[in-house]
Amino acid sequence: MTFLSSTGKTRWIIACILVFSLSFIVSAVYGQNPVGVVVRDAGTRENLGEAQVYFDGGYLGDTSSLNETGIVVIPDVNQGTHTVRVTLSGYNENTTRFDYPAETTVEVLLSKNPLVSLNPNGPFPNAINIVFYPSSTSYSCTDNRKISDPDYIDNETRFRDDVMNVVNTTYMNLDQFTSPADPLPKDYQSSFNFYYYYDPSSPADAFSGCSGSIPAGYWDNVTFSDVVVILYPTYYGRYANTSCQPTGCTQIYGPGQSQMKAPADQERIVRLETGHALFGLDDTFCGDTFYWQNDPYPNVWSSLASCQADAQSHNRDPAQCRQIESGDSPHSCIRNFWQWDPMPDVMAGAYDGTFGDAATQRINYVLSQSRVGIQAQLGTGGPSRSSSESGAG
Amino acid sequence: MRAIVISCLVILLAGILCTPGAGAQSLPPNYDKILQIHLDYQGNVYSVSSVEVRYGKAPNLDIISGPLEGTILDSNGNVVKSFSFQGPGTTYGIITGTPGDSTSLGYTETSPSGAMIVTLPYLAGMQKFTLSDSRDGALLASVDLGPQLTTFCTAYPRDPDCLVLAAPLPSAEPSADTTVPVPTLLLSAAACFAAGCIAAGIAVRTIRRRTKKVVLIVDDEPGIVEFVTIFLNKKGFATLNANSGAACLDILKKQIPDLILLDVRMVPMDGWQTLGQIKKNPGLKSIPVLMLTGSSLTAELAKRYNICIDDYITKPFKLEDLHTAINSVLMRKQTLKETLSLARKAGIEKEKFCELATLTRRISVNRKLLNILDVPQAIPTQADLDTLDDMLVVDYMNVKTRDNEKRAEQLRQEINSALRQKGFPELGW
Repeated sequence: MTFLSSTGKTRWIIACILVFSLSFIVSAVYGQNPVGVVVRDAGTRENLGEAQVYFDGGYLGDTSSLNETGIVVIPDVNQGTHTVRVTLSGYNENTTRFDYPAETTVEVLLSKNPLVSLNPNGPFPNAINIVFYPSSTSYSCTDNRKISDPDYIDNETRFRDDVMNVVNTTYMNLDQFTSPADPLPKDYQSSFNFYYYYDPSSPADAFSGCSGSIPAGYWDNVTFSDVVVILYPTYYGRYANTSCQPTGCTQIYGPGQSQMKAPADQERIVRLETGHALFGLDDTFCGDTFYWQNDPYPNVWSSLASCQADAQSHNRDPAQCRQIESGDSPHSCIRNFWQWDPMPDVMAGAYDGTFGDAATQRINYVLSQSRVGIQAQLGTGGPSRSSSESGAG
Repeated sequence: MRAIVISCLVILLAGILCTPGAGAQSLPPNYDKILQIHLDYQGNVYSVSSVEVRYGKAPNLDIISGPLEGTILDSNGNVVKSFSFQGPGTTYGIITGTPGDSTSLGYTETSPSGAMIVTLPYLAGMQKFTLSDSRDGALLASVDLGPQLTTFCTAYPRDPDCLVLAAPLPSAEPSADTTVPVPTLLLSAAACFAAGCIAAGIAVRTIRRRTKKVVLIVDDEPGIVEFVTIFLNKKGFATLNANSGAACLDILKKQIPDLILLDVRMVPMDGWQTLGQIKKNPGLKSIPVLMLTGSSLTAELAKRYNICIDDYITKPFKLEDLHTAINSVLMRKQTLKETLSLARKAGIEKEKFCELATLTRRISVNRKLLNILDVPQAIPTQADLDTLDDMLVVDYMNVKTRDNEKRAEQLRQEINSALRQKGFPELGW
């Protein structure tokens, strides 16, 4: 009463504001039926700040938006089962279900994500995602057996160095291995995102099946990879006979599940398998491999007429179209498919060659498909190579 | 003084900033979602083993090509996205010697059977996925994505895409019918057991996109039909009109509406007779029926509501009350569909679920009817209750409702337990 009488209306209004402010804070932070969410590192059990928290699918806030790092309060939770989803860069996201009012605090444990981005400024939006995975095995063609190779498993730095070397010698200088007749975009390097996935407890096995095998958890964790490359340090011994396991191999398991293996010390094999796994190019040597007319912008055709028509429509000499066959005479190998690119051709396998005109057109097509999204993100529009431009039948 | 004012404002500002979700965000929220279709293949025969919607980022579908064609369709069969890719089991292997050695051999492995995962980005309007062979046009697999989208949105109802899916039905909030003057709006009679089950069974197979809902208006007064038609069209409904019970049944032979608004007083076939014909037909009995009548509620009418109607509204009525009643019925049907989908995933018997759905509606309706019958001023024909027959109606409804409540609670506990074990949300009704 003394306060009111001595200060009059102004202090009464201030008092109201104060009461309102405090009650606002309490209700805003704790609500009527609050549930506290604590986000911790699964390994160290330390609270994690900056984690983004979603309640029942809607964004709630991050764990540094309150005074106590690692904690966020969900106000006014209704009775029933709810979900809390937490994401944080460098960690696997986690969704936890809880029942209210049985549970009034929820602990969400985040485990470290083994995926490491190699792009200095972070991934480009809509670019092609290439993920390297270390193998704990290699192969000795001399002894004709798979051998344990712990180089990458014991040493992340060694693996990372080999990955960077492969990236720099086969992807970032792709312009040096493609045809100048159809040059790549000047900034083609921004069409790629590179990552490596390093979990020493779950290595890949490059010699389990043609293209190797990766622990199943990878596919659940990295759903966006366009190509995964199982990298192994080296292939031991010299080619002897067909009983040896393949040096490189690509297998397609469906959209987003292209998988290839290659030795880190053989750039030509990395280049050839990338031709398959990333650019959809066919082998052009004659042998026990898979042929099909890989429209649009093929580098192999199912008929001479198709090859010639395509060459003509793209200002190439139709006379260079030739059947895929071995170089010996009489031919020990011949296939009912045709090629145009001259030797030495990367896709012919064993040569330190380049991608020919036809293969380069296909590479440009694939790059343009990803660059549509990149240009859209940049808001600049941009050229795209329509599949309808292909003259192939 | 100034210090006090500043302190108050600082506290107020702190309160605003401390609100979860407020203030500067270091990263924008990430709602990227993917749809993963797991397929088994044996030669060129594909079968879908599972479908899942979850948070995540999809691969780039535009950079690949091959003889298999994937197509994402909307609910009207329009293509949302198509892409091509190579079939699984394709391997390109190579054996080479040491660097500098030009000898090489091809190496292939064939895997005539195995598994393949198709990972798609979530796209607005997606409802169906088809896989075909572009070489011969053969359809290899087809998947209805609706149930999985429903399951996802049940777990993440506040996801922006789920909010968009839920948005087109207006007035989804339960109406405050306890405060509505009697008998303006009654959430009335129980739908029959079989009708509910069939409606729910259909719901599991597919989730329909929220296009315009169709209401069949059946009334022999042309003015009422026209009046209601104009109003419902303005509210975003499509309408069909019939001026008699027979005309109603004729229309139902050609088209299935989402709801029937049926007048009781018609000649020669009145609303009850028309309703009887509808409920006799297995193909029609799942259609919700909202009865429209000029009669006030009596004990006699309360008895008649035991047949399958979904709501009851009296003439004269307020158009907004009609709108609320229609939305309420449609929303209830939708909720039943979605919950049954989850219940089946949790291994709950359909019969058990349907029994609970039916009992819940009967209890709700009977409680409201009893409340009305217990209030003297709400009963225009008070004399009706003076008869023994009417007293028996009320007593019977009371006893039956209590029995139903016990049974419903038992079923609810069993079902919620099964849902909890699977990590699904409990029943909200």
